[in-house]
Amino acid sequence: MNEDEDTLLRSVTLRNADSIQRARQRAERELLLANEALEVRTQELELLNRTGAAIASTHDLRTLVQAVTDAATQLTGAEFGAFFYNETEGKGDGYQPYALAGSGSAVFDGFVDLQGSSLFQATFRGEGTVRCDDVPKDPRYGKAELNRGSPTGQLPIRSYLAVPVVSRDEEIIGGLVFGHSDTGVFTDRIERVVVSLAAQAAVAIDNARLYENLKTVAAERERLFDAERDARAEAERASRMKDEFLATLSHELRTPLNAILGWSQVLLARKGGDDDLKRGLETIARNARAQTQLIEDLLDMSSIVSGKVRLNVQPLDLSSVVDAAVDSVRPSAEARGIRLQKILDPLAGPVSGDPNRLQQVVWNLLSNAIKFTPKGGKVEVLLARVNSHLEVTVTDSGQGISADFLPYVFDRFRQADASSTRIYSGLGLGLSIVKQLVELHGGSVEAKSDGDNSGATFIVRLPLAPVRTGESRAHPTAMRLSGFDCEHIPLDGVTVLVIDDEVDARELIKQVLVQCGAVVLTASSADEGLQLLQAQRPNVVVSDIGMPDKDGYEFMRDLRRIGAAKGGNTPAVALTAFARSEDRTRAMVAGYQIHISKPIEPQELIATVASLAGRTGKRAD
Amino acid sequence: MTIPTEPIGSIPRPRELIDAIASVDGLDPSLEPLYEKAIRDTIVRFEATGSPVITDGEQRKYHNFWTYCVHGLPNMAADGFKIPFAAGHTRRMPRLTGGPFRYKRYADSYLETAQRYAHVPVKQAVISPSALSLLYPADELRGYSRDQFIRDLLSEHETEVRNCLRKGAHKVQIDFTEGRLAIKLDPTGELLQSFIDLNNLALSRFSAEERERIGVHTCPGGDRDSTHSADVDYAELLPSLFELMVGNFYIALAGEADRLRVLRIIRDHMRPEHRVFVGVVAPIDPRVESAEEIRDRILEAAEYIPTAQLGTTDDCGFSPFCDDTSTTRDKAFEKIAARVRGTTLASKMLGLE
Repeated sequence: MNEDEDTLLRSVTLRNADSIQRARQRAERELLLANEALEVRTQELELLNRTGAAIASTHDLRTLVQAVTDAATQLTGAEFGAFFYNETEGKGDGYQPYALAGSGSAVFDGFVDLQGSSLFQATFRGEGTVRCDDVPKDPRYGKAELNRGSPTGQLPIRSYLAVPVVSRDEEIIGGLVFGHSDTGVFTDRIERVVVSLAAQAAVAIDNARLYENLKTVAAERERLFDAERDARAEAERASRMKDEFLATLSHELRTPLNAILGWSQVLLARKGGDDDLKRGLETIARNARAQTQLIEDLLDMSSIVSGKVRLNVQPLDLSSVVDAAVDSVRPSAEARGIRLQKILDPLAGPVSGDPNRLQQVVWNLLSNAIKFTPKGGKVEVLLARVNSHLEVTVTDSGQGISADFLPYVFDRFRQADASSTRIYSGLGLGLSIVKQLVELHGGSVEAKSDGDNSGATFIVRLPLAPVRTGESRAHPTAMRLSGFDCEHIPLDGVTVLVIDDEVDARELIKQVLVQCGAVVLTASSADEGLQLLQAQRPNVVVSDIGMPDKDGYEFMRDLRRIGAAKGGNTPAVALTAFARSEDRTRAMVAGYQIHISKPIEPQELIATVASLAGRTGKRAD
Repeated sequence: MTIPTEPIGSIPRPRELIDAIASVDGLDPSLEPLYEKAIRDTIVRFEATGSPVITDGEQRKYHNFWTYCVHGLPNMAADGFKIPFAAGHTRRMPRLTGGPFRYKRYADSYLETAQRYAHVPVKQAVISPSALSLLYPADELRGYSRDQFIRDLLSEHETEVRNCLRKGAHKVQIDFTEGRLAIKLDPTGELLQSFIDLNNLALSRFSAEERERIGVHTCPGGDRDSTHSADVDYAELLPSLFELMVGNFYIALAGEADRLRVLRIIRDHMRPEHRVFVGVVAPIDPRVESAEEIRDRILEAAEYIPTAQLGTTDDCGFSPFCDDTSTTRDKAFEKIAARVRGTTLASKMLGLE
């Protein structure tokens, strides 16, 4: 290598070294700047991600709009940011700030100043993003507004950025607006970031509004549901009140009937007398009994629908039940010249049930059949075993049931002829009671008719009792007496204390018992009764329950407390117009041995008193 | 006489070789059969494209086209000059830790292997002295001056180029991708000028005939479908580039945004003794260009460059840095085949066949 070459090489090397060194430093600097920019971008992305997650996790409009406004204000480096709702078409109030962020309150005042300007309004008019490096120099910001709200003439906003938030259906929901007191703060990059944030916000706001709507619809549905539930509860309450009213009404109706029926029977029991008087008394007794039946129907129905019926279930022979029912309606059938025929299958087998209630069922069906069958007609009752159940079929040749009414024949208070001129009396409860009672026994009832004047058939199906458990107990069938008989049950030497606040009732009971030979003491109040008892020591107490001051329950509790020596163990009969099963239970709990409901059947009262006197062995000779 | 067409150099390596290199050092003897197999396969497939000139696909340039010659030297550290890419990643050069500076290997060894399998002329790419000048650290090495390093560097480079020429390389292509990067790193142009001077110092050791078989390649540096200096205007680079004392220039053009502007700059600064190979396929474009598209690009270039001085090439190697797998091996060959067909079509249109 010659000297020239060597010199050249040295020069090239030197230059090479110098320039590499400079390039190296420059590259390092650029890397540093690139890293810094990367850092800023990373932070922005993290903020965007956090904001995205925040607005995706809430359906609350205010929360998400605030999150977007906060994030956008931070990203833009604005002194103040806000989300304005576009309400120009709604209330006409213009642009309502909904979410605010940042700390430059003076800058916010600037927004207020800006609101009248076309610079501000452009966002809400659909002119897209507005960015302005120096507001006072922007032609859209009219000079007229320059000093408004800014006495010094210095507008607090110099840099301005506004991005519309546009819904899916291109409605301008509002705008994200940002301000800074320095000029040229908002760059292209910042604008791009805010635009993408606004797009995210638009989707979230759309979703939130959708959610709000759904919530409103759901709330409305809930409200309707509540209203319906309240209405139902109210209807149930009204129905309960009606049932209670029926119970009270029946009680009130029974009390005077008690006296009418009782006295007519007392008078009838007397030997001899005027035939007309006797016929009159029989009429009174018959009608009083008919009215009693109506009241019992009412009471039964209200007990059944309120679930208060308790069945005294036992194995029983249904044929004897049918027999008893047939016997009890036979007089009225004969009176109307209706042929009453019964066919009982001797192998019918037992059922489980309450004998009194089942007799009521058959009696109701038979009474109904007789009622709707014309003179000379025919009513037939058939008991037969069909597979695993027993069928009681009552068929009449009466007027029949129209196809229109047939589906409603078991409804409460429904009568085929509900007009005021109807021929047949009654409350329309009999068949409904039949249905309810049969169903309580696990059975069913069906009505058939080929229509008007074709007669009707009612079929009651009851399940057979699974196993015959010992001999069926014969049940005491109700005897409808036209008077009463003391010969078989004498009460001679029995002292009975009768307590009742109503003088008619008291006298009636006294009369019945005296006629059978009992000595009767009477008291009109509980306290008087208690004194008499301790003084006279009767064999049996017959007490009313509903009395003023101290009722029959309290009287009995007092009696049982005084001790055996003072007559605290005297057997007692509760006599009350409260005929519900819970009244019976309550009487037993209070200390009565037996409960008899009014109106009293004299024979039942006599038998009960006799049995209680006998049980104690205190019958005097 | 058709328009000459040549590749730049690298082809993505087969998956089998990439996986093997991932587990052992690139110099491990166990890899030898795989290297041989890869080179053989590359040459077979290269020739199948119809390319009249081929390379070995740089299957053995262990990490990249830039440092193959010093890879494995004991006097190198990893923490050298950083090359920043647009996608945000960097490639770092090794750093010389002491003298003397010697190549670990010369590229003519690759040439020899390729020639054993090839049936058509093989060209060989080598790294420029200017790129390697970045190996010397910022602070002077004790006992080994920068002057001495440059002397040794020029000498090693000369040896490598001479060996390739002597062994019959169709062309020796000096990779000068750092030319455009130099402008980016030093917008004053000082660094670029120093690179040109340094390279000319080396080239001045060759005869005019020899320089006709030597060329330089410039591009914005493709790596992972990104570049290090695409944003640098060719107007800053090309006037200086044509000062290099070589007969051939391989200039990336397909990926340029404004090709006509680049062609005008080329036209204004190229000299009568130069042949300019313009890039007609872009390795960083995942799409395979059609032959017709390439033909049209050539016809466009022919309006600015006399056909006697025109050639075609790829914008860049297909996997210049490490094992860039952003372009598949199959796609690289498809693109090359398109270049060959497009060049043939253009030659016909220009009445050169």
